[in-house]
Amino acid sequence: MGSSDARPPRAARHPAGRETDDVRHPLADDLFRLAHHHLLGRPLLHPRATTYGLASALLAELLYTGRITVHHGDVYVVSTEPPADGLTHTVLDQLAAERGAHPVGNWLAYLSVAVVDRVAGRLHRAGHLRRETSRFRMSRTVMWVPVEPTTAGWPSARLAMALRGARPLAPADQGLAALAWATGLDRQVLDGAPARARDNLRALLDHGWPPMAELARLTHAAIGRSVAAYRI
Amino acid sequence: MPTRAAPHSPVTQALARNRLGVPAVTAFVLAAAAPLTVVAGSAGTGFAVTGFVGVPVVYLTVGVLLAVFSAGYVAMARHVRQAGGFYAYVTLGLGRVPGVGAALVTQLGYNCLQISLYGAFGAVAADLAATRGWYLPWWLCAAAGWVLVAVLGLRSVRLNGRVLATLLLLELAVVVVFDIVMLAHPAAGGVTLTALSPARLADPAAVAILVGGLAGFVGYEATVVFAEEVRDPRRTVALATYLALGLIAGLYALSTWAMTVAAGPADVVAAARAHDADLFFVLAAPHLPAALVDLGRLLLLTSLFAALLAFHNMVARYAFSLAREGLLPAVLGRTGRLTGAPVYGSLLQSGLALTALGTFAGAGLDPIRHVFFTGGVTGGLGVLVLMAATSFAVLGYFARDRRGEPAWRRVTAPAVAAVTLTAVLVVTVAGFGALLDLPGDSPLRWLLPAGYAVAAVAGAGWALILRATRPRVYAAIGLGPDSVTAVPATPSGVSRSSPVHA
Repeated sequence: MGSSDARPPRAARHPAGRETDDVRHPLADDLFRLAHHHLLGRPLLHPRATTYGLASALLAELLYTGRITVHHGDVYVVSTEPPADGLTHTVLDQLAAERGAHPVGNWLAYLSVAVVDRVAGRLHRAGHLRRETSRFRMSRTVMWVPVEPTTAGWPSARLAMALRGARPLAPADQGLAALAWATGLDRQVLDGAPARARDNLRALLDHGWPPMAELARLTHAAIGRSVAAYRI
Repeated sequence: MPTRAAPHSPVTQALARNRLGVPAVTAFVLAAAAPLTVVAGSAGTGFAVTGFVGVPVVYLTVGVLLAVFSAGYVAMARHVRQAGGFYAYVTLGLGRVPGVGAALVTQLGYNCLQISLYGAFGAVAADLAATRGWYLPWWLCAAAGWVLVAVLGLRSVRLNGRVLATLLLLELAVVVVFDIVMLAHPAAGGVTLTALSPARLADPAAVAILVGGLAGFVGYEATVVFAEEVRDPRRTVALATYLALGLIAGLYALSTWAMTVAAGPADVVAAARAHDADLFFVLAAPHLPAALVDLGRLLLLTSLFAALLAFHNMVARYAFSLAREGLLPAVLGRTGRLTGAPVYGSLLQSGLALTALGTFAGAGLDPIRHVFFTGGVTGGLGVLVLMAATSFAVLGYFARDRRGEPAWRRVTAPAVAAVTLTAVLVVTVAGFGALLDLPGDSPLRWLLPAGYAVAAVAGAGWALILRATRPRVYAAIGLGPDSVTAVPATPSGVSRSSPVHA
């Protein structure tokens, strides 16, 4: 088991008060909603940022439910107790099957394969998305269209209001805000917002829950590296 | 420290399947080096402008020199997983102040190289159009290429790897066939090895022209950029580097020698002055079907375009990395929301290129001799500066920790490279006017090399200012997009002060 020979430091092992499975807004679902148009379902972000962001959000769900932690750039399994949710259960099994720790960047690359369909599938099963096959431009593409635009637009509105200081930011939403920054969605969420909103976001990244802040930074860096390493 | 995952875990293996092997890395860098561009472009112009017959031996010498340089360079790539290239290496080996100097020299040098390619692209495209009866000015054709590069750069369109590889293989085939034809039809004196004689190196012109030869190799050094994306960082990068280097050096030497054989060593300079960059095609054309020669000219154009786009992307992504560190304005570190392209870095490069092209066209400069050759040699000078600095950086890096590397890679090879490259640099700068065939009183002979000195000093000065005013930015210099991870994220001090991962 991954936790046996890869123990995290004690300080990071207890994200006090966050060890419940009752996450009302699963992070990856909300990030998916942020990254897609609330009416049409078309992507609002380039594929690399979307897939790395969603992969990171799945890790964040495990982070918030106390199954893993992130320290010095690596992911450590803290508890292999199966989560109620099938998708995060699968991810945790994959994490725990590895002997020793991997850097966050490796996990993002690994989990980013098919992550859009996996998260969309979870939203689909919960009745939030419907599948539409379009024959636009001769190629058959699968589109995931929100069933309820208000629900689909809610995470963006919630973050925008909270970062502007109009409502408190729930712990999981702090993670969502951090990942919005990591993927570049913050520019859209905070479009036209006062400088104070950006300062609030910056403060989250500087003084937020350390493993979540680190996960967001590493995601930002991994997406940036993929931009920098791109040739021809 | 907790144990790292075993190299053969399911995750590592799954990731390795998507990573690049030796052929892919070699093909990428060869596309940037654009061998046909050098053989059918720079080489002919090299004979013409310098009046020197020993061009083949110069290419061989540069190949050997770069092989020695690569020993230390590739050794360092095994320990540094940074896409920053020369800039990251100078920062790690010599410190952040020279590092930022190197960053600006890189920007200037690669911009020079990219913009110089527009001269050749415009001239070759105009020639091709003329054969169809359309007489267009070179700058109009260059502008058409510019539009394509600007659009593709902004949209981050990936050229299809298979198309790229096919074009590259066709290019190499054309070069080899033309070489064989030229060698099979020697001038009056028969096949002679005159141009390959090492004695040619004793000519003072030989040392000065080395920098021109070096410009033809630029692109091969990008292998280390893939260090993080290759299957086996210890082997793939090194193999791809030496393979690319060997292929390029062999091809350049063979082709330029074949040109001296076909034209006759005594007449090659005169022939080059008559035909300039077209020499390669003119010499082989009488003995080949016209369709093949046309195909060669077309491939030259596609090769030039691939190189233009490769250098454009390199410059844009360099600016992106520097902006992510806080060295350049943050706006350059932004990417297109839907494209993921470094939009503003791309726009900046396109803007620079358009300004330069407009100026050159307005001044009535010759696209090949002035834009392509002068620009290419000036860009090559920048790369020479960077390679010399990187050799010193390799020495500095391994002086602090040997990291299990043998003395040849750690000390001997980088020391030989550092001394030789510095010597070549001094001779090149001293004879820069003669190399470019500039009139004796032209201020360009000093202005062009001085540009690099200004860039290096400005970069170093900027680093010193950052050290005093923004220590967080200063601490992250050399980390590129990873700089966000260097900022202390937690009170417990989760920080990374060095970009070294291995």
